[in-house]
Amino acid sequence: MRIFMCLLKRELRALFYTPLAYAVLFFFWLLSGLNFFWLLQQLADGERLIMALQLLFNGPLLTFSLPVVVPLVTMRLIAEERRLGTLEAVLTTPISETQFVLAKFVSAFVFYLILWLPAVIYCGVLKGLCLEQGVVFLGAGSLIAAFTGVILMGLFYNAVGLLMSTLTTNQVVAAIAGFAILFGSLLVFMLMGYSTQYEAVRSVGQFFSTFAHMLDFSRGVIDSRVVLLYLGNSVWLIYTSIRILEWKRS
Amino acid sequence: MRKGWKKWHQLHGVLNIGLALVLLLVLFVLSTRIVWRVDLNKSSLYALSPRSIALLNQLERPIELTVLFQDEHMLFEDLNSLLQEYQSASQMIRINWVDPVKDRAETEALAVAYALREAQVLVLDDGDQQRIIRAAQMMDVEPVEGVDRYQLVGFRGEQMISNAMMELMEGKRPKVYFLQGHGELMLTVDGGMRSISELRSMLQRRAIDCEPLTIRGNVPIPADADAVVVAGPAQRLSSGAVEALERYLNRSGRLLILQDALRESGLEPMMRRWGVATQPGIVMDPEKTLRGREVNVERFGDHPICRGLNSVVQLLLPSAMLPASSRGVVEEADQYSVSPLLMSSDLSWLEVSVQNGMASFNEMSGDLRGPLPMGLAVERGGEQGLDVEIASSRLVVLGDSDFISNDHLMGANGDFFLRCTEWLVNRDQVIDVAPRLVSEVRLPLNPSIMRSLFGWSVVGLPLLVVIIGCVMGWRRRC
Repeated sequence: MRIFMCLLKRELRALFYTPLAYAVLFFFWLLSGLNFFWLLQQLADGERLIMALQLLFNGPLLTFSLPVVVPLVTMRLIAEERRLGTLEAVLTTPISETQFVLAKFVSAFVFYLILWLPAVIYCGVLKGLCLEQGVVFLGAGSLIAAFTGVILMGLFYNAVGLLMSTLTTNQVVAAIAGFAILFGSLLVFMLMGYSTQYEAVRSVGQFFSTFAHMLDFSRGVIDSRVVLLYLGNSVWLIYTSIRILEWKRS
Repeated sequence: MRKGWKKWHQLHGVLNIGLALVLLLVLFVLSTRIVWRVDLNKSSLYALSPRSIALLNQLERPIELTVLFQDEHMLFEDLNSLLQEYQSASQMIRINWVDPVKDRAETEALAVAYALREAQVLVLDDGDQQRIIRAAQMMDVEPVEGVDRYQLVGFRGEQMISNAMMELMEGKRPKVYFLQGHGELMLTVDGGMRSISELRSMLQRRAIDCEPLTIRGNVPIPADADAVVVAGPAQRLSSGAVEALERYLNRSGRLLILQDALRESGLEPMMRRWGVATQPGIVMDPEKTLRGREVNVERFGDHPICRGLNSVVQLLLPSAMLPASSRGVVEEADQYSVSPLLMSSDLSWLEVSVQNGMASFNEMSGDLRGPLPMGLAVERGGEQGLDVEIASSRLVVLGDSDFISNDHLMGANGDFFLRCTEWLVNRDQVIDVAPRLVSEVRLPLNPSIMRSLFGWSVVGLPLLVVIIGCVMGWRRRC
């Protein structure tokens, strides 16, 4: 555990020393701000309060920017170590591949959670505005479900990015591959889930669509199938990354 | 040797990844069998009630729900979320989404198959029977002050869908008899202007069978009658028919009387005993008429029949149906529950001296000042104990019959009649889920608040990141 914590600290420090981290944070927080402002306008125009969390967590700006932002953060995780040749040096120490990969993954995930920090602030602002108007803001249950969705989606997105970074030495390739998989699946499953009349295609689309899942989470619904889907996929992707690293080391 | 070991190691890794994937797939398959779904939103519009969930667990064969809705419709998102809950709760629910604008061919095919006259409907089909739920039946709306639009205040999707499912499961089609032989409206097309064949089709689409009924002598009403309709008799009913109808009504019967103005059906004494006083005369409502003959009713009573009714019912030269207690006819009127259904406006009156030509309010000649009820619903009795259940008697009396004839079946006329019939045959009581109240929250954000919120959310927070980034960069260089 001590080794893992040391690795994690090292990763986070390295991450926050790169200008890319701030560029990504700036970009995502700007979009979050625009999304929040748009939500306020919707509410001022008479949108139902029940839609507030759906718009806050599943607004189009955020839905489509996450598949871009996450691979930009995860692209350097393993690929950079391999490109610089530091991977071999690290793996000659008593650090196991599992500890190494998990530290990389958790550091990216912590950064992902920081990306969502404005959403927490915006929830507080919305609650304050509602209290001023004498309106009861959505209960804690809805917020818990919405943040559960954010966490699960983050696990999956970061795990995809991690695997892509493990597969290649080129960061750009890792970012493009991660973006292609995340954005492509988002778009394809969204189209399947919402614009076709064939029940089977629609069901498959909605079962795998992160957009549909976030809609459910942000209106307070937690479904065991979706939770298992994200957890299972994330664990498998991380496990695969570890095995690939072991394989490459051997 | 070393090369062989490396290959084996690689194969081992690939096998491990493959096996983990298989395990994952097995887990996914299992997860679809055992579903745990919870709605943490206490004010959720979509969480299904325990009664609906129990109903879904009892489904023995699949029900296909065809949703013929445009995605711009006010109810689309609500319906989508609600149907997801139905689908998650039961594997017997299959949903087929059709956009009436984008899927024209499919829409036309559905219109023919289900005899649909409008879009924005939900069709439930279990293979044998169908139920059609219109958008208007699933929503309560009210006008927004100062703006020419309506806002959704109540969503009754679950109530309507679960009730329709229960009707499909029961399989029994209620039978409604239409009395004939006294100049009443006719169920067949050959009735000409007095034909209600279109209404009959509407009832059949709602899985209610209609049969003509002729009463000869003192023969009782058929035992399989779920309700009897006396639709605008032109002649007085025989005493035998009146007695048969009253006997039927007294024994938990269900009767719908459409009594035209200035006509005597012979049922008046019986109606008085049931708390309804007919008044000679015609309801005049200059505020709610275009040609003078019709009254466009937009004011409805607080009764299950009228709940969610938000269109116009057009009556032709209607008569007033007053609660007998208000006319001092029945002293023990409280033994009935009498509810007004259709009300004229405040400026209306009951014109008693109709032969004079010019209609104007004249209190001296006995005219009555509005608002006046033109339809009443009466319910009496009904008990539900541990081991006994006695159904109540129900009577609906409306002051016009022409409004359901083929030539006048417009606006909400047909829908209103269907609602009356469905209330009589107990379709209102199946699953009584209260409508989910929808609150439109308007946050009156003035420009200065909006500017400041824009300032710190769109400019302030991202700027903070830039500053922190610069500080970190500077520290790193130092």
